[in-house]
Amino acid sequence: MKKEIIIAIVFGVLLGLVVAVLMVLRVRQSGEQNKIPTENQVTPKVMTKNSQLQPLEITSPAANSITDKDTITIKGKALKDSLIVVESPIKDLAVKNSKEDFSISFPLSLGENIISITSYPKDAKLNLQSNTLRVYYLTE
Amino acid sequence: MKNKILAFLILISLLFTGFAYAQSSSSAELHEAETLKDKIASKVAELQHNDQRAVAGSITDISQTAIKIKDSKEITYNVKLDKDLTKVFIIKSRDKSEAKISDLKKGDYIIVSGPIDNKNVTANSIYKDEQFFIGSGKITEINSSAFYIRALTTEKDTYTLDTETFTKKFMLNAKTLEVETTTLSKIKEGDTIHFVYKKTGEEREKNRYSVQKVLIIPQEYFIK
Repeated sequence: MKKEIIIAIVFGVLLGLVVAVLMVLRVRQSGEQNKIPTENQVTPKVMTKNSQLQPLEITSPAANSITDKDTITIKGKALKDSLIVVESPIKDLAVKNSKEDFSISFPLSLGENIISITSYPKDAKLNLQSNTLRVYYLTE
Repeated sequence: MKNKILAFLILISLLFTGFAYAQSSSSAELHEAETLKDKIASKVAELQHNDQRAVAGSITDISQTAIKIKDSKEITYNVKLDKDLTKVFIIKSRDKSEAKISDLKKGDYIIVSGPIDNKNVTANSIYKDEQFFIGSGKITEINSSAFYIRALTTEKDTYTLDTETFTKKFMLNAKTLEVETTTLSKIKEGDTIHFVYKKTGEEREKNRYSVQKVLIIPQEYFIK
């Protein structure tokens, strides 16, 4: 076989390969463009106004914790300028938190203390937030 | 002969040196062990102090060696008792008195303290206590002749709260934020109410309770 024929065959095969690869890539691209979106992109995510703001957070004491003292300090975070109402069977307390962080000294009675902490935001359009805590004042 | 004595002396001195070294090393090891023991003890005490938790619930089953309780979230705990080690107390009027395991019965609300392993508690002490419930909502109705307040909670539950002679009534002063005593006549529909009640098991209807204490946040606070 002549040398020119071999070169022509090799060249033809290579050209064929390049064309085939280009066609496959193009088909893939057009396939992706025609794909129907299946993810929830149509409906925008619904977010409540409160969800973007500082939620009521109790950092201390831990739920169901035991203490041998008759007073605890409730620490946490709430929306700035909200009214924080702390309620238990023996005491009610209301404070306005000028900062996001709050620290409230609260009395305990012997045994189980169920304490409700509610934050009323300054903006009446926002929802109140509430958290219930159980703390045990035990002396033995 | 001299060489023999010298060799003997070297041998003796080597022997004593080894003995002294062994003594000092063993006392050093002992000291290290003591320090380690102290460290472990203090760490255990610290962990115990940091992780002191209790469980509370109503007794669903009781024997001399074990109690089953169900908490407010309907979780059942198995409480292991030791007749010699487990202490039992009854809380009444903010004071406690010592009691026995036999003083406890089905339906009693108890607090259990002791090592908790998943749903199993080894009781060091048990306190029989009263169970209180707390709620809040908006006042929808006030009946001054039947002395009750109706409130709708944020969970859309309606509560009928009977005010009794023992019911403590407080209202938030919208200006000073002081909590002041109040009367039923000063409470208005639309006010926010926080309430504390006890379940007696003899309630006339669903969500109707004799209320222990109410705290009113007047609507004026939110209007200003």
